[in-house]
Amino acid sequence: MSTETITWRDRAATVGEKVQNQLAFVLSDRMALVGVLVMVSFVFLGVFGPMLAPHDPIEDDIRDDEGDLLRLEGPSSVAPLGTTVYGKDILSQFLAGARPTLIVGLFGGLGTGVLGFLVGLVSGYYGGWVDEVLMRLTDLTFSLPFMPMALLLLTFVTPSIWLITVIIAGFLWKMPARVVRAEVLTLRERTFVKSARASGAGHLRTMFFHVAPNVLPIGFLYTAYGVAWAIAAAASLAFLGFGDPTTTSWGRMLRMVFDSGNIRVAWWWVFPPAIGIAAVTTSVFLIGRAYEEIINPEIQTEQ
Amino acid sequence: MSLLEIDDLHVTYSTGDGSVHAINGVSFDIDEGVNYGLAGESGSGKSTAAEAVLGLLPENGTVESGSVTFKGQDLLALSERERRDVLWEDIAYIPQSAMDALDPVMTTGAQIRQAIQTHRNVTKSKARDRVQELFDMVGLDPDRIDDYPHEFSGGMRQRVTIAMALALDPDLIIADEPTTGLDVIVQDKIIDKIIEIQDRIDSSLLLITHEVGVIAETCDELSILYGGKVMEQGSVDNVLVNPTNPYTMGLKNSFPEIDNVDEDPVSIPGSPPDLSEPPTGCAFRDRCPFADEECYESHPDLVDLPNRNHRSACHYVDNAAQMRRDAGDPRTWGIETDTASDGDHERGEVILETDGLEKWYTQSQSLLDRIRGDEPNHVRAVDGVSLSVRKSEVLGIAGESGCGKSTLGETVALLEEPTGGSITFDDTDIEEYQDGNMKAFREKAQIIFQDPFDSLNPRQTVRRLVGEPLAIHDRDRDTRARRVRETLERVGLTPAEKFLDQYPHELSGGQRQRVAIARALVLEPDFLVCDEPASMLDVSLKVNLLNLLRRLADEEDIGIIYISHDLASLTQVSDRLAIMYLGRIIEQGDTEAIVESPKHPYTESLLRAAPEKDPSVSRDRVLLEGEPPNPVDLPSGCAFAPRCPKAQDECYREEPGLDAAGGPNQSAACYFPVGEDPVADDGPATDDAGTGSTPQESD
Repeated sequence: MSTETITWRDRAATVGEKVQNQLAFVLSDRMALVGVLVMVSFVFLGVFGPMLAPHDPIEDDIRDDEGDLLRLEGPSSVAPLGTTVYGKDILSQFLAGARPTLIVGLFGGLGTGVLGFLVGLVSGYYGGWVDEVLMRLTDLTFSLPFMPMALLLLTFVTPSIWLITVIIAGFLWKMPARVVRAEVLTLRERTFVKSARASGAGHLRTMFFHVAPNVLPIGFLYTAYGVAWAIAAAASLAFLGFGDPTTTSWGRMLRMVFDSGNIRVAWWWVFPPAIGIAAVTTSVFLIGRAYEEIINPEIQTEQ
Repeated sequence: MSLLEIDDLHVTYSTGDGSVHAINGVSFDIDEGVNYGLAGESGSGKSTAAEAVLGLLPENGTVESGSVTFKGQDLLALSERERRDVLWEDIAYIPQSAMDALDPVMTTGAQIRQAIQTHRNVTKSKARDRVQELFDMVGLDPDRIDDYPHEFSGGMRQRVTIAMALALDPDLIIADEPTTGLDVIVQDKIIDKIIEIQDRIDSSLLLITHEVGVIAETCDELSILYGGKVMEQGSVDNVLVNPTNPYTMGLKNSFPEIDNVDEDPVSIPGSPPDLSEPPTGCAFRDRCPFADEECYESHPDLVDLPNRNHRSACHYVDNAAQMRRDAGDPRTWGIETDTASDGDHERGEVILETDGLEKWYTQSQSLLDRIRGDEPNHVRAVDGVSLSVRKSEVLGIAGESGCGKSTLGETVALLEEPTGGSITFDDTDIEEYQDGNMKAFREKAQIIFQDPFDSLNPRQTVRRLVGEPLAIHDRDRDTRARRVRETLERVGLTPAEKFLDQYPHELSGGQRQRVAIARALVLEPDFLVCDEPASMLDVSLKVNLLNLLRRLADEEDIGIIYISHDLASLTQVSDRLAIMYLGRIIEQGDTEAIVESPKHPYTESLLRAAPEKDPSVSRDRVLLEGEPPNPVDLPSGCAFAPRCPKAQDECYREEPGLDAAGGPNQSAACYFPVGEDPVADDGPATDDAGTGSTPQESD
């Protein structure tokens, strides 16, 4: 038994080392470092934001010393980022709005990545009619425009944040599926896959132990991009008024400012959510680009 | 004055982990009209030298010092623009894998015309005339200049690149491995063409290759490189007949020859030197059996040998005659030889037998044809092959590329579903295995693939790679660890601990192929299919591998099918040979019988196409006409008849069976076998087949 624990520990150590190496590569790229910093603070806000918020984003009204409601006021000592037209604290809304954005981004991205990866892997590995069915399904999702279809679905059901996440993942998996399938198609012809079959490995073993590890980096990359797409899509839905009405999200904040007709005036109301969304999606792409250099040796050698 | 003078050239590559000193002081001169050869194993710096001359070094390569003078002009000092004028006008280049060097969307003629018109102010029609002239010169049909590259076969595409190199009458042609990757027969045609062209025009040739045989046949002078140093140089006749440098002796001895079935080639043990530091002593000292302290202290200078065009870099040139004698003996190199394994040994029971095995691929059909119910076309990759392999026997399967030998290997290993015929493995029909018992078959039959760089999963360690078959076949953890270690040491990866946690990219080509073999052997199979396992390895590694396989067959009672297009290595390792042509076996029998008196004209031309490493021996070429026919639309009768120099009407009418000709240990599918009465020792077949072929061939 002792040998087992040692090999397990060794394995954990080598995995740790590998992760460290890849992280080190990301960090050596300055833009990626900025991206990582933004992402870290975003995740922090997503987890602790609502607790940090000085006021409740919807319940609490902001009043000045005389007790008057502060409507559409610019940044002041009472409300550092100003107030909405209803006299709510924008800083609190911004902090609380990070969480739904994080949830949609994280789970939408993961769902997109995992679903797409599996579809691409199975489709590319088995080929034949399996490939035919799965790829026609992919073509179908490609041919359906995302926004109108999502809006159509959301008019029939009450939007909740989880439902939106599922809808987003259900529409976005096509991207990784296509790319992973193409990669698997070339991998499948590599000799080591044949060699695995020759030594008696079954389909599942060959697929997950030999083919999958070699396309995993691309899966990761598309999961990261999935995060950005999901956040942008959720924000768009919320802006169009199809977000979860019970929570405050960055997209919904933009919707509110648009509805109030003050989008040209109240810059303090527009900028926090807009910059938040832009910063998070941009950082995901910056990290993704640096990571792509790890998985694509051709870009790597150019450095 | 010499045409090209290279003087004390040093080239380094800067890499992530420091610099690699690829060339450390190479000097040689090429005179006008001389064919010059550069030989050496991979990593000896031969391609780097050519790239330095052409100014095509990759970005991380720098010429540290030395000079390259072409017709009195310093090539290294030229600007990009000036160099462009010299290239192709004066120096033409045939790159490695030249077959892929042609633009697929441009006709071959247009590509050559473009090269002409860039440098010469000529009209289109004049340029076209020149292209036709060139096509004629390299033996291609001048009317085909408007064809696209994919319409030509590999060997013909190689001729197109040669035509392109000749387009502007360059003074020097640099050819980097021009025949590597081509079949022996095609290689032989190209070599023949190069020699012929050389006679007609007066340009010089710098030929870079790892095959000493090709140099021996085409070149006048050569340099042998090792570790970026010239080990020996001079005229081909002197250097290759009487080498004075231990490395040249090793390189020459490790080339297997078809004629000496009994004589094992001697490999050079060890691996190429680490070039992260410039070599202080003799570059070859670590692998040289004659090395002593002096060799460690300084690299020997090239010493002129008296009275002949011959220089050697060795401290012990004076002892050359003695060293030559010793170098022929494997024990000198510290290789143990098992004398028992030579000659006759017990062959066990039949482990695998096929009867009329077929593997046809269906060609895709248009929808209309499918609706009309037309019978789809088939590519008959394997077409009725019957063979048997015994335990502790090596059966060699030879043939040109595209003859179906790899498909046969994969079908026999059940990686491809046979479409007809039967396979019996270990007295059991394979249908029984396929009926839910595949694991039992996979445990006993293994396959080793051609490309060691692709046959190992890049993301697994050696421990996992070799252990995986054991895990699949449910061995427990302790057995697994023990067996992995034992098997690694058995294939010569010692100590096993050193390799267990390495990834494939950290290993050399030879080591990877050994890991692949260990993976196949770890389950102790009874039967092994080897699909060109040595074709990507350097000569000395190749010999090592062949000896290892031979030992496995002799000592562990494994039945082996060894598939290769390289007849020389096949004859070394095999007990019996089967020659394949277009999916069929056309000759089969004991190796010795086939080598000594081939019956089928095709076998004969295969045997004669292998280059001879000894320049003093002349070889009769048997140049086959044409290319193998399309396997979809085979001619009726004997498939070889259209290319056969002695085909008669009978051959076109009906296909000969394998029993049509032969002797006690040999059978061939031919109505008019070579040399009906095998009397003469010196190649009984020369006269018959030689008359039918001319050096001028038509494609």
